[in-house]
Amino acid sequence: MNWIRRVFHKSPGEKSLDKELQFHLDRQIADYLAAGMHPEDARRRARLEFGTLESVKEEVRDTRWETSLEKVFRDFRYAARTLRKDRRFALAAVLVLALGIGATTAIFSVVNAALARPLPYRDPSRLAWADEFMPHINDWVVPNPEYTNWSANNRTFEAIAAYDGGGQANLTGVGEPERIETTAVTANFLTALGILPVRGRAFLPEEDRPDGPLAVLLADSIWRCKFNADSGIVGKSIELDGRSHAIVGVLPASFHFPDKR
Amino acid sequence: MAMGEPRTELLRGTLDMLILKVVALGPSHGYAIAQRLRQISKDFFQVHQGSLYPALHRLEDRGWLQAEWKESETGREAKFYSLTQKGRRQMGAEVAEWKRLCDAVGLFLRAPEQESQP
Repeated sequence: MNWIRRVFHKSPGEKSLDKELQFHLDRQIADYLAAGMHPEDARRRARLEFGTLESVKEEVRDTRWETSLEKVFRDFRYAARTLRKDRRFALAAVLVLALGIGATTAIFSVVNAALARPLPYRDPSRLAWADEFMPHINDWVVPNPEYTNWSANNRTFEAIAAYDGGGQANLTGVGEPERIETTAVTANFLTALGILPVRGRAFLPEEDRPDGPLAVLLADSIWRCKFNADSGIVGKSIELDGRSHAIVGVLPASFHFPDKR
Repeated sequence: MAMGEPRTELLRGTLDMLILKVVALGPSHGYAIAQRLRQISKDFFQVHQGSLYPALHRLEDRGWLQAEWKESETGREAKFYSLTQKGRRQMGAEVAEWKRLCDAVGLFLRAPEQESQP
């Protein structure tokens, strides 16, 4: 408790206590003087009776501390009693708390992901998002010719890359067949985000052409779960939807795309 | 006031009741309360500052006493304690409790002794 006192060094309460005790002591001395005692004796006797000021102050502080603790416990007991007595009130209180905490957490998650947490890519402040609204399908999508056009006429950005997320494919040939999530990207996609594969290489320009070679980069999780973190994986191939794709590299474990966290 | 330990060890909680009772006579500061306790009990209760001031502050914290800095009879500022409504109710409860205790103990003391001790 001493450190608490030191933190609140000489609070108004402390000064008031000093003054109060000093008053008592001085009054005692004055009374002894009035009774005809020698000034020196009066002072000594009063001091002896009083004991040290510090020890009296210590007692007072301890009492105050105990009472404030008592108050806290009393409040807790009262709260517990009220909750036990009135089940409906308790339920309502718990519900309100749950809703409040839930809503706050949900909003925080969104704000954290959307605003607070920087994008996990190199130079997130230099990344921009471009999209187009297609009224006839009522959706946001950039058609292939449009992207090609943007890329060809780009003088504003270092690079323009595109992706088509949310794809799925049947992975066969390794263990149990599995439905996995895929994202199709343009060849320069990883370079634009500043991501380097931990094994192998990024896509080559010819690999995003419609008739180009079929190539895949494995996510870290797939590489570990399906291929037992095979260190010689690069150069092998896998079957997606029955078509053979060359494995050209493995992505860093920190890279998730689209980022669902 | 005598030196050293108070002559009579007060029962726990009794001091609170006595203080409330003294303060009920009118607002007073710590020194006056100590004097009154002594005078009223004919020097029987001699409360040490190390007990008196913690008790005063405890009673204030509980809302039974309220304190105010005022000019005292000597012209110097002193902390005057006075009884609150809550304190008055508490005093009533404690006095009633004390009386019941005294009555109960009295019943034992008045009980006749059947066998005389050698």
